[in-house]
Amino acid sequence: MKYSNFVIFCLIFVAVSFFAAPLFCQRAGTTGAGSGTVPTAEEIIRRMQANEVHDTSYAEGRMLITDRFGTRTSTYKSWSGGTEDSLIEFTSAEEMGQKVLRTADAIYLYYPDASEVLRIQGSALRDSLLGSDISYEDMTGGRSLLDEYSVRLLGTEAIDGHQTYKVELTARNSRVAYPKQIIWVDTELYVTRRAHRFSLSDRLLKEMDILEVTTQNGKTYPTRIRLRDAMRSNTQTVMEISRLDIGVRLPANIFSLEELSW
Amino acid sequence: MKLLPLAARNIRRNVRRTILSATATAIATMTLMFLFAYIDGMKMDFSYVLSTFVSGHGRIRHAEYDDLEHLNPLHLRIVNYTQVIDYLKADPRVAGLSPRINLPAMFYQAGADEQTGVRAIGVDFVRETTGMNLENILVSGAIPAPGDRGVLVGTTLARELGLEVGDTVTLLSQTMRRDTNAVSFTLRGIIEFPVAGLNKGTMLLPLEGAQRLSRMGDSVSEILYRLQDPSDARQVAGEIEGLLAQQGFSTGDNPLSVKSWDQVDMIFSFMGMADLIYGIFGSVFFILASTVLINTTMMVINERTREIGTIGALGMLGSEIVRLFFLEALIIAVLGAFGGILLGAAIVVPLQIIGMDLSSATEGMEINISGLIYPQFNLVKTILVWFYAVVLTGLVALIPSRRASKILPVEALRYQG
Repeated sequence: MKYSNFVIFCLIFVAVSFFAAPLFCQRAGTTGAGSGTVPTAEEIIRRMQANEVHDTSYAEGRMLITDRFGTRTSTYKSWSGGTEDSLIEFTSAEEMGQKVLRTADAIYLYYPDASEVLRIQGSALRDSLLGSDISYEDMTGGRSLLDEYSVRLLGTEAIDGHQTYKVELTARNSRVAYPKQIIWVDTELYVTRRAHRFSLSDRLLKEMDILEVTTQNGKTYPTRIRLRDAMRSNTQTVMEISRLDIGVRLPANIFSLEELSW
Repeated sequence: MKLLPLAARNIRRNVRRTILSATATAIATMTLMFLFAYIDGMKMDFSYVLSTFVSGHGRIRHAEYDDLEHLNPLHLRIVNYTQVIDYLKADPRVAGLSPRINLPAMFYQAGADEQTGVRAIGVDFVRETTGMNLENILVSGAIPAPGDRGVLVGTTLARELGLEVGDTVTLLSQTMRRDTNAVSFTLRGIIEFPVAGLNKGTMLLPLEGAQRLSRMGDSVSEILYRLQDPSDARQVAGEIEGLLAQQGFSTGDNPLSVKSWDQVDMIFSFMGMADLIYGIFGSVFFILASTVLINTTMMVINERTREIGTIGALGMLGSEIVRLFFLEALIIAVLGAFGGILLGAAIVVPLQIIGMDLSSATEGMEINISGLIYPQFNLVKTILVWFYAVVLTGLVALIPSRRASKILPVEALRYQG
């Protein structure tokens, strides 16, 4: 009797292992060309960010902001460095000289007619940039998603004819702007195709769709992005990047407050 | 038979009861008189606040602005405002003109997690020195000179923000294009608006500064005008709107609408109905007061049943008996009403001079009424209230009086009481 139980137990163990192993291997995953296995959620995010996040960059572009009263255009130049720092300077006539500086711990606004640099904090972070669908809060947070979120692969989905990995991101702490995000990453190019951002109660707050991508020097990145604030009606913002230089040499102290008000 | 002297003698037979009956009428009369005086004081104050700080006697705006006002539609502006002002200046009906820009803004405080929202109003300080009586309400500092990027702040707001004359004030606001802009100003003076709501949240900016902050160029949100005679403000508003269209200032691309002050603030229209409403309240008060008189008269009739029988047997007609008791009640009503207006005048006249301080009650309220109300004594209304009291109370007194005529002398003489 004793031996029968032992034998049965072994048989069950083998059977379970036999069927569970593929499941387990799929979760752990392996990458590598031609392996045919699905990458892990972490790998997807890592590869996506390798494409979209750069050590240094310089960009020029414009924002087309649409609301119930019509569409207006604002042009800008921007510089980014490391994972935290970026500077936007608006170059359209109406906003000429206006700047937004993002550093590790704060966002600062410079207006030519203001005698002081404005630090944005608290509830003011939820205000929109230039009245667009982008909030100052959207600009906060470290640029390494894996530091801020735990990730889970939900499966694959086709977006506008492109196969994508659908990845769910859940915040590890309350410091991030959005407790939950779902992003759709192109399975071939590892560039974001769509992103949805949610509140703690799972309410959709922001939608982002990538309308165009460009490949340059082996990196693929979005060049035309549509953002929509789900809490507002009849609005959208389209960001178009007309120029992107990666790995540029940035002026010294470009991300300092002194340079901001210069 | 002379009933009036008889009635006058009869009411002296029980002075305490007469006084009690008259007191109820007096209190109702005094109350109604005070209410009318108070509402007249409120109307006067409201008119002053509206015409000086809110809408003038009339307001000119882009025709679509009002419907979208909650969205702060700065792009719906008056682009040719200087020409409109120059044209209306020549109109003999117009006493003053004030171009303005209304800007919801945030006062930037370094280090604060929450920024304070303020109501920034861009004004022409030269015009508003007379228009808003700025010198009368200036508590400290000075009115900004032309070309100076100085602002004036309400006392409550200055206190809450810890601002003093000379401080830098940086305002962040939405612009005409619905993006944002910030401009720094210098606090030149602190003013005490008569309205608590204005003191709590208002900053006056120079018009050019507001245009710069909102990036509106040489345009304004509205033009307020004051009239020499505001009594026909609504008609004048319609005529001005027609004139602006005729002169080409109001076009299909840039339509302007003109509203009189009673069209701008609904409370002002309701105040016009206040007299009617209080008149209705008054009738309720007098009817209630009359119940005392009815009760008294019925008691008197009951007590004097044998007397009624006697005078009836002596030849007094039923109608004369009714008139007698009616006159008694009427005299009490007249005396009570007269006492009431004397009491009312004793309250209203001093208050008309010293005012009623309701600032603690109105603090935090967003209605355009100041905290100090001066009830207005009005002789015509006082006489009308007296007359109203006498008529209403007297009519009600007819009810028990008519009972007296139904008493048969034979039965009345047998009445044991």
